[in-house]
Amino acid sequence: MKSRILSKKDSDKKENSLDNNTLKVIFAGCIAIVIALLFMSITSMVITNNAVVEKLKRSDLKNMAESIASTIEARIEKAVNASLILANDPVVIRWIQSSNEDEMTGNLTEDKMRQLANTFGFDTAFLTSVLTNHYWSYNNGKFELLDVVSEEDPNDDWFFNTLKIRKEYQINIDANKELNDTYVWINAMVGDPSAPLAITGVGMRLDDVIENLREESEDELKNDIWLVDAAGTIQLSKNQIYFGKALEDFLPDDTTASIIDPQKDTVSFKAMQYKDDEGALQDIAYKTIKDTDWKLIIQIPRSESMGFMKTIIWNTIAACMFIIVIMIVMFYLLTIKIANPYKRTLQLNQELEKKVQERTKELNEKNIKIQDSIEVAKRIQESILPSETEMQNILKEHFVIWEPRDTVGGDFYWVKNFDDGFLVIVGDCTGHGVPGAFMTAAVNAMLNHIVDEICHDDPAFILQELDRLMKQSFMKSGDELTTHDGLDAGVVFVSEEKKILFSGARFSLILLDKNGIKEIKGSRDTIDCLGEEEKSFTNKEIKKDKDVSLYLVTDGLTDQPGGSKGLPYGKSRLLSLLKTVGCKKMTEQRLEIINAKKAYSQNEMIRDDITVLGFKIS
Amino acid sequence: MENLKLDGTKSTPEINFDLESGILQIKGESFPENAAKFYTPVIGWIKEYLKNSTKEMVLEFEILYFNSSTSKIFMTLFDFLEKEVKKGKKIIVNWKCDKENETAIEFGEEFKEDMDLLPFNIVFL
Repeated sequence: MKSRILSKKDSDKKENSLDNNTLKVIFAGCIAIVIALLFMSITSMVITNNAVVEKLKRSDLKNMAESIASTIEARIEKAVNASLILANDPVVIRWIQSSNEDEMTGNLTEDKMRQLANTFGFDTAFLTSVLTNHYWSYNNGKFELLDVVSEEDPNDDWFFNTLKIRKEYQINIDANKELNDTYVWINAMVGDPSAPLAITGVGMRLDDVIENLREESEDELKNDIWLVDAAGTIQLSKNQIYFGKALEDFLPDDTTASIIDPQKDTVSFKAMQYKDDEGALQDIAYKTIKDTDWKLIIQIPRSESMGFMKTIIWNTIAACMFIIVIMIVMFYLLTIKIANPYKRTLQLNQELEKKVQERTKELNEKNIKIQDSIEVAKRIQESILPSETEMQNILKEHFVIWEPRDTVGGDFYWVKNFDDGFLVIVGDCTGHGVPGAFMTAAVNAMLNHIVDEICHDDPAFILQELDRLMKQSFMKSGDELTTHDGLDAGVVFVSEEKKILFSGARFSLILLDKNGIKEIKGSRDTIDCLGEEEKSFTNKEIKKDKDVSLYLVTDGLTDQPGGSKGLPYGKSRLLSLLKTVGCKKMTEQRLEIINAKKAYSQNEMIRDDITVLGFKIS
Repeated sequence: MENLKLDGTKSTPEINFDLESGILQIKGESFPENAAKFYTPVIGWIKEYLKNSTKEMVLEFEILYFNSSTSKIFMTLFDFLEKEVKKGKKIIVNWKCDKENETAIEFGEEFKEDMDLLPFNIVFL
């Protein structure tokens, strides 16, 4: 019971370790999948990110900046064209030449200015005559003489500076702090630029442009557009906090330096990146506004332009998680499917092992039982056999080898002392083991009966009587084939009167004397329970001499296979062995025979019961 | 009837009876615990064959070791075969044994001696 509980625990343990193993396999598989997916995702994210940033810098940012710039530049160009039209108008020239006196041309000039301003949406138009220094302005529908410019007034520097440059036109961007406005002024020369008559042109507010852009892009990116003058001051911005501030307050010094460097050609947009005070990455693109020394700067936080990457990342993560879950479930199911047959084989094996153990235990128990009963049978058989003292008393110099193949056996020896001599019998009953032992018990009883009641000094007669009793005692229950119960036996009577009588039923007597070794064969008939006819056994008489050794040997020894060919030991070998060892002491002879048998049979199993009885006539 | 074929074991011989050639081979060692039980079907088979066939039957024995029960069964078998020969059946027994196997030779000689009509050849290997 104890061992069963233990084995139950053992099997539980095995099962647990089995489950653990399955779980380990699943866990390892999942980890592998997750690592592979993460690696794949991160790699693709990095690649995508780099590609997107590259694209942003190379095209997206520039495209956006370009479109903003072209909007501003288109407005400026329109203003330039309008100013040139005004400057080249013969009516305007004539009005200037009349020193602004001629009323008709004056009215026509006013009409012209109104027309230009209203048609193209300029805020103002102006004309300043070199001849009169009169500053005429058209503003808010009013055409009037606003001022007379003088070289002493610093506010009028623009006029005298423009004249000195002697270019067909010039663009001035003017930050008007009082109005909190930035104006773009187109100053076009009237007449020959080397000797101009006047400067005329239009002015427009740039913050309108910015305002438009702001409205357009309000819902989109949190970008900013700056207009920066040559000194690096931010004059216009979507965000008012930048107004009037220096660019270097917001950008790193080297970035500012490269933007406002007048030597650098920035006709087309250049892209740069920097980290702002808060550490956020910002992309900027900048260029010089055409024909001016002002810079247009577009600034976009990287987080904004890359905002869609966040969506991609989150989508990728979600997809990864989904795939991982699906993979884990699939992997788990597959592993269960694969691991199950293995598990079941192991379980089956355990069950079988348990069964085998149980059976082995049962067999062992039964075996012990049988063995115990055979041990008892052996004791009984040995008690039937003559004791060593008895043998010593009767035979004097002698030895016995009695080796049943299976603890008990069908071989026996029998001795009895009488007044006129003694009787020695060795028999080999059919069968070995327990059936053989049964036979020896029966034969023993028969022999006792015969020698006590009928005759003890005629071996042939004893055999005959034994045969008769066998036939009488053993019922012929089967046919001739199945009834082979019987025995071979050799009977020797050694009389006090110098005479030895021997009779054998398929049994020989071996005699060793000074003349050598001799086999005295018995009858070919055996003792059995077949047939009705009486068997005729005969006595062989041997002269009783001193130093004659007699041996009775059952066929177990001569028939035992062995040697190199696996052939039976044989009678010749036995005879020569006895001849060799016969001169030795009986105990030594016994040992020699046992050793010879062992040496010959080697690894061959013993096939039959073996009995050798030897004694010396003294 | 079918061919008879029994594989040999440690204690029983290999038995091979080919109907077509009429040769029965018994080869190996014979010391079964219950020799009668082992040989009953074999002898039954031989009887059945002799009843039905007119062909010559050859029994080839090549037994290295046999116990006394087996030898008694063989004796019974040879007695039966002797009677069959007397009835006119053609039967030959070849007792094959090693030249050095004096036990087998001795048995063979004894069997041969007992047979008057049954051709019993001792063949040395």
